[in-house]
Amino acid sequence: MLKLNVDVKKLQESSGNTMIDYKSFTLPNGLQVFVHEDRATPLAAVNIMYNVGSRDEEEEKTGFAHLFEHLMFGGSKHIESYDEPLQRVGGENNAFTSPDVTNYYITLPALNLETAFWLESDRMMSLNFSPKVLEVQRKVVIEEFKQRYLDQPYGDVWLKLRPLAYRKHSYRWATIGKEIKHIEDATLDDVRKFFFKFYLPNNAVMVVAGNVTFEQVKELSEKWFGPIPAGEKYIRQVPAEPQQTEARLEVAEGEVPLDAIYKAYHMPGRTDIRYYTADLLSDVLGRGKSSLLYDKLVKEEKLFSELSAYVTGSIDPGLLVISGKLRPGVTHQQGEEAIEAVITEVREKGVSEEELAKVKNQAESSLVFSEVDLLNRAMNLAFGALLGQPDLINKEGEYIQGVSAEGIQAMARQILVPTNCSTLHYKAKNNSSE
Amino acid sequence: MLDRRTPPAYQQVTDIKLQNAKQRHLPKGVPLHIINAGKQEVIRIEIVFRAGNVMEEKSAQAFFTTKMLSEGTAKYSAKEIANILDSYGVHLDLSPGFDFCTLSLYSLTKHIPLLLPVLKSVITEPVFPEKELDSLKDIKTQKLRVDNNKNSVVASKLFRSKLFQNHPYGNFLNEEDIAAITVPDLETFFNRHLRNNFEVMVAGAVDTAIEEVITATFADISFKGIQEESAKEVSFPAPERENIPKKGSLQSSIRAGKPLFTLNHPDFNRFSVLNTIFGGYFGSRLMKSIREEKGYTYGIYSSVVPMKSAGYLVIGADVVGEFTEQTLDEIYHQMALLRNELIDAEELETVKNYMLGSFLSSLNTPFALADRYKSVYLHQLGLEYYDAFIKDINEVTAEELQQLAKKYLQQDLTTVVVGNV
Repeated sequence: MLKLNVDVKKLQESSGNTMIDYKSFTLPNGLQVFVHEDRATPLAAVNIMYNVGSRDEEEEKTGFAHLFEHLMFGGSKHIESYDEPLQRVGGENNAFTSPDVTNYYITLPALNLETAFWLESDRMMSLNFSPKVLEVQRKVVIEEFKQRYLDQPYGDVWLKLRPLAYRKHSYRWATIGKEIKHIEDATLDDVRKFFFKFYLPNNAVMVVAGNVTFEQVKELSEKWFGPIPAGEKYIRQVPAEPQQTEARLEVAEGEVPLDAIYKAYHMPGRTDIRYYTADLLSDVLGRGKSSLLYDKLVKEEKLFSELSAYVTGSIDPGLLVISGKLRPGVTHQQGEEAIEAVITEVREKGVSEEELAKVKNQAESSLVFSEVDLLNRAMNLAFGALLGQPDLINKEGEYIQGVSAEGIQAMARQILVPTNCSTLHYKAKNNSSE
Repeated sequence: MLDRRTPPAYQQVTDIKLQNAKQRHLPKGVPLHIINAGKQEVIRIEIVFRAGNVMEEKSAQAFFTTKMLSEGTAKYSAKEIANILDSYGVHLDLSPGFDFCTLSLYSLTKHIPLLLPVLKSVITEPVFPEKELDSLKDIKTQKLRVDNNKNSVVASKLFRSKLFQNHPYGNFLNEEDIAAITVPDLETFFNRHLRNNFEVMVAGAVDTAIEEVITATFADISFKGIQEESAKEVSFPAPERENIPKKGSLQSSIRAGKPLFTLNHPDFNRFSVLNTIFGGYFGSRLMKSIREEKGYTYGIYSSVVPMKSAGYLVIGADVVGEFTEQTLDEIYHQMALLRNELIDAEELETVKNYMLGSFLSSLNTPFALADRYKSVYLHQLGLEYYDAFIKDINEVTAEELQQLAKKYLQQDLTTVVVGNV
């Protein structure tokens, strides 16, 4: 329903007491279950992450993983309505789809935990494949497409930037889909095939967290999920993105008030240890008011009114993105040169130990804060488990501390180069600054 | 064979106990509220100033005074403050509000002692450098231009200005106000309304040592403790309709609603149940009808918004442009059903359980607990408000809800539509 960013971060050394404890088991049908007990809360969180995202779609049927997420709320084999019985026991739920995964989550009073097992197991077993549900959700998703991507200023940036940065990998289309027509054309046959290919116990991980016990979760899992048959193992065959060798530039125009620049550089994926180096590099460049880009180009030189850097955080090799809005009268060319000057300095002089300590502190703080909420802890655990590294949640702190100033400079030299960059110049219509 | 058709047995949430804040006055009067909760070594310190937009002598004063607090003080430059906050991984929010302006600082507990002197300087001796103000004015102007391209933003502003005519609650920032604001305006607002006029609310892992340094930090501040009310009365305008067509839009953004009441009104809790049924959750009647049956929208919600001196009901949705009128008709139709027919027992029970469960979930973190405490405290209520809230939800009847629908859900909504209309 809503799309969020999975931000799996955790720091072990931070404050001494933040290890996330969990135990796990795997059912004979392949469903991996992780249990994180927290007696301090009256709640339980149940998080099921399916190993399917928009990267698993066919090129002519994009947007399907996300449309499918909507259909998961349209009733299952034995249960007509998903939401109502959950609301009835005081529960709340939502879900999101990313290029990598589709995640479903529930929070409810722990004493009504079994209701979550009943609902989730039935829709993992089989949907009801109702034509009416498909027809309505197609319309809803098309309105979501319009509301979030077309009727927003700059809303279509990622629809343009993805195919510019990716030529072969299926990250080249956005999760919402390439175009509305793909959603309009979806058929019930597509829905069935998709379900039985991906929505399998052996293609999912479940995390149950909160005021629950391991034994209780094991018993409920065997009871409700045990009878679901395993399916054919999904073997992902997504083409790797070839190394980019030329600078790419696209110019777009829209009904927006300000010119904008988006620069996307290829970087390592989520399971590569160098991911953390690239992540901290983006922080040095553009996280917070004291970051290099913001301090120099927003505050000092006043070329941009907004400027930041961040990473997409995808499982397969992702993107480090620098994006900013130009002040009136500043050309794209001037903005580009100013960004390039800051980047060049990082490539040539590297970052100071002080700078490095700062971004490590920021990352540490983000990790600890991400553990405050029970559901977040469950999601973080699920994401690590899906990557095959359930203990990632307890290791990321070390990985971050392991990043060195030399490593950041080397990363900058490797990835922050024009031939590795896809640039989008967004121009305001009726703006004659360029 | 497992019975998958019958829902498992469930229990109602009956006992919800909120942790109260430890509350006391520092030696010279500043109120300190502490909620010590949570396992993670994190803390949020909020400085709640007892003044907001309603006290402005000039538009944009509250906004810029609040936002400029961290842009230079007698002891630290804007750059130094940004650098210190970033270096400790601190997140700082400066939130100007209608009734209260708030500074929220989120940090790992271990850094708090080092941060307190900076925090104190920010809230007691800001100097509002002209250069930083010019920069902020410029950035805000650009952001405003982007926001004013969003139909939903334009609709919300227009709606509020129609609801609260001649009252600060109806005001919003515009480019002229931003251009006209000056450093002396900020100094005046700060000295009159913010200086020494704040409470300190701390939530998270607060041990005795942390409590002591916080106490020591604010001990010498002589609390002013004034909360002036706006001289202006909230009026109740006649309902009207305005369309703002926008070329190129695919959808129309609808806002419809009316003035209601504040948190301490006797109908507030029961009306919240009615509102939840009407459009306040995913299973609401508006959502079922307009999204799940007709597919006109990605989402439609109705909300009850309580402020200090007034409150209002607002229904919001972005819908297929061609179906704007059908959507408005359906909103009125759903209101009529609530007036004319009793809500059935099953639906009412679902909503009661949902609201109690959702309330329980909303107490999930120390910060959420503190927010609950704060929202009643600032309305001069205590935590017993929530006992009454739970009791009212449990006890409200279908008949009472029908009476409330007759009283408050008449065909008299102020309506604005922006976009494809």
